[in-house]
Amino acid sequence: MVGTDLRQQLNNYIQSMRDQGILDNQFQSVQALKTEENPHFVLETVTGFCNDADNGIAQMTRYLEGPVVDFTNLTGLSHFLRGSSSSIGGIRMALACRDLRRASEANNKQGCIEGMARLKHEYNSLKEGLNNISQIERQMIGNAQRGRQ
Amino acid sequence: MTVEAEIDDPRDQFPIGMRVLAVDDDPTCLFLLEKLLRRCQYHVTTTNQAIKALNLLRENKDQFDLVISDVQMPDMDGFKLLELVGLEMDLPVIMLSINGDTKLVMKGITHGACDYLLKPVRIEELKNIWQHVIRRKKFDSKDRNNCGNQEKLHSGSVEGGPGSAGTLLDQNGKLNKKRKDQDEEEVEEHDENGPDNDDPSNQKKPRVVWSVDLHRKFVAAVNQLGIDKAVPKKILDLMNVEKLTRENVASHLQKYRLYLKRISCVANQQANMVAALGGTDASFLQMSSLNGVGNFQTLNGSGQFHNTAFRSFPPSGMLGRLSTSAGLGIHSLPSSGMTQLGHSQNSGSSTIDQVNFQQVIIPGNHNGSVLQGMPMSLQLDQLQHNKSVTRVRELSTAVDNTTVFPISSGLPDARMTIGSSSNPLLGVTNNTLMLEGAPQGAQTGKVFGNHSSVSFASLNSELSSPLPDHRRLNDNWSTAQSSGIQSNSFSSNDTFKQATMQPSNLRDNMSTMALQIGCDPCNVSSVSSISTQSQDLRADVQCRTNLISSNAGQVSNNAPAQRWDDHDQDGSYHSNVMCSSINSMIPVNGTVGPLGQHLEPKNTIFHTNMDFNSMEQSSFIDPSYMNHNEVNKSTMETSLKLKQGLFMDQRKPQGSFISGNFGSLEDIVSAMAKQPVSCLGHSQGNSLCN
Repeated sequence: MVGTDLRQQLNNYIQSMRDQGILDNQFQSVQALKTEENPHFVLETVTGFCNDADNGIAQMTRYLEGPVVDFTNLTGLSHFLRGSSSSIGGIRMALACRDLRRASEANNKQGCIEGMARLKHEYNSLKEGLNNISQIERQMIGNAQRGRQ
Repeated sequence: MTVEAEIDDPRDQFPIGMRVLAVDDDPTCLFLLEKLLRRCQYHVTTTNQAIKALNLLRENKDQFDLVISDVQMPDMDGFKLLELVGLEMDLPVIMLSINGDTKLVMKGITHGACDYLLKPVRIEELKNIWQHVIRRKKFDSKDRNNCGNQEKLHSGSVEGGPGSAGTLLDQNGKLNKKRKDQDEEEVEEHDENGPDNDDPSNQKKPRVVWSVDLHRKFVAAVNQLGIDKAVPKKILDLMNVEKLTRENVASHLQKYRLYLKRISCVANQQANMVAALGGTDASFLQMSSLNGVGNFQTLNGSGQFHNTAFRSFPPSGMLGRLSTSAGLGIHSLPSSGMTQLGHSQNSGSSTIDQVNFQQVIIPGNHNGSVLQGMPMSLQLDQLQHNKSVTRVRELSTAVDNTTVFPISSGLPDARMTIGSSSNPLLGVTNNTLMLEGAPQGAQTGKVFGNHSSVSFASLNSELSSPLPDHRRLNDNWSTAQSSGIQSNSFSSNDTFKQATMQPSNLRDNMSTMALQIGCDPCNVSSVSSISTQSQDLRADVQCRTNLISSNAGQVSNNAPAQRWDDHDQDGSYHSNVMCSSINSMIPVNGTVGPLGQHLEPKNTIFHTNMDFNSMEQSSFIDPSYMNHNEVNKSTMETSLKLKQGLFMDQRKPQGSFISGNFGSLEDIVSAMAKQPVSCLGHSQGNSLCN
């Protein structure tokens, strides 16, 4: 029961994120990859993604705030994050990355600053959502394990 | 997973257990991809570095059935990796990217990707990828059997098309439908005209194999009509070949045009290089015209390839290789591959090589930077217009030029003003592909691009494209190189020219160069960092050109040679890479399709070219190349040629392919422009290059 409730809770939560546009169907695919043998799959993926994103964003901020904006690297990194975020289903963040990348390719500093701000904003909402999902997941796994025991 | 497949497929359980190598720098994506692939019951190996992937592939060619790679990676451009893998290992490669722009997809196709998937990847799409492995195998054997115009049952798979992105993208959809059909088709095959194919696009049509001869006729017809005025109906009439339909010609023409565009890109680069080298451009250009078969492709990539290919390869074999390599190599190596081609001409077979170059050249373009849409296309056109025979000769000389890039110093005129004259340097930058490609991975034509670009740039500046004046292109090349290389190239070019006439001379030069160039594949990689590498490239080119010149006779690059010496290796490597990349890239018309596939008609040619490349390369640089091409004999020769700058030349013939790289291509292109070449458009090249 608890498991079911949690699952239901999880689904509801994910659905609300999708409604907001933060997540898209891709996240479902990610979830679908979780198996019995590897229940932590989603957790691992999410954790990995968040780490990369944190580092990436910090790095991009540095590129942008330096005395001379390093557009080349900024472009590359924004592209990179776009890929990661879209793989995990963070569609809004992916779009923000895409826009940031465009601004960076055009060497448009102001555009980059705005894009960066937006990206951070999207990332924060995505991250929060993912964290919540992870929490529920962990609980579910914990329950399942306890259940088995 | 593919249950149907299992049932139908006689192979043991295939596609279950299909061995896939996944490459992506993004850990999240890679992780997900791995999981998805495992879910499909494939056997997966992952790496986040393209270089590691290449090494893995090189260690054991039979280790994998399929490669999936991201387009954007920090250590090597996905396209370069694509080219290299296609060239060296002839494995189907699937590109992955978050960006589904038509341009990019087209680029993937022209570089030889057999599919292009968008991220995030869905499992349904992955479930179908095994068909690429089967298709490739089937077509490979088919092609080998059918040398002439044989009608093959083409299941209408992706390969057929001009490689439009749409085709690839549609494939997934069609694949589902066709999965079963394909299986059946592939099994039943050729003889039957076709079981019904669900696929609407591929109606069962007998597939025409564009053999070297056929392609030559085609090119002759196109030249006669003028590239702008060439319409399929008229070409068909001129060619006067039975069983050839207007549609066949039309699609081939389309591919050819794409090829030329690519070459122009490459040519630009090459021109730069050639310019540096000293005039190999001419030969290169010639080559393109001669063969028209697309051998050029090989030329591009392997620069080195070309050289050898020309020499030793029988026209058909070499061309094929060159084409692919050219594609690859063109970017970076214009000279290596191309030059070779030029030489071979002399030997007669070179003619084919030349053609290869043309084809090769095109691939170079995708590196974009390499030729920068160089006038190479112009060159190619010009070449095309010219009699192939004569071209061949020129190519060889041109080749020298290309390889000789550094030597190009002598060719101030050569500059390929065609369009990219400014490119030489541009090529360099743009061509990051060349540079990158070369060292990194055969796959991405980019490598070549980088290579070439750098070299080009450097060539231009330093070499002033020694393009010999075989064709004017050479001159052009050198002019293209004008940035500095010119003087060298010219003198060398001239020398080359004569040398080309005497293949032996060139060969020697080339070999020397090749050796130098080939020595150090690593260098190539270094070259890739265009910015930094440029020096290397130049050095390389110089070395090459030097070699060539020395052999050929007076490659004036000596001065630059010094620089190049260090980089020779890089240069040669690049060229090889380039050549190979070119070859692999596209069979010329941009219908890259599976790398191997397209080349087929011209395959024979390409193969040889490839070998050529490999030969050269292998001798010098990379045994991996050799594998690809297997033609050892040619490698030696090609290497020489490449060195000589044939690479450049080779490229040029193809079109602008080479010129792009060297910048001398520009010269070449301009030279070619003199002729009624329909400039592919520097701009085109540029776009392609990019």
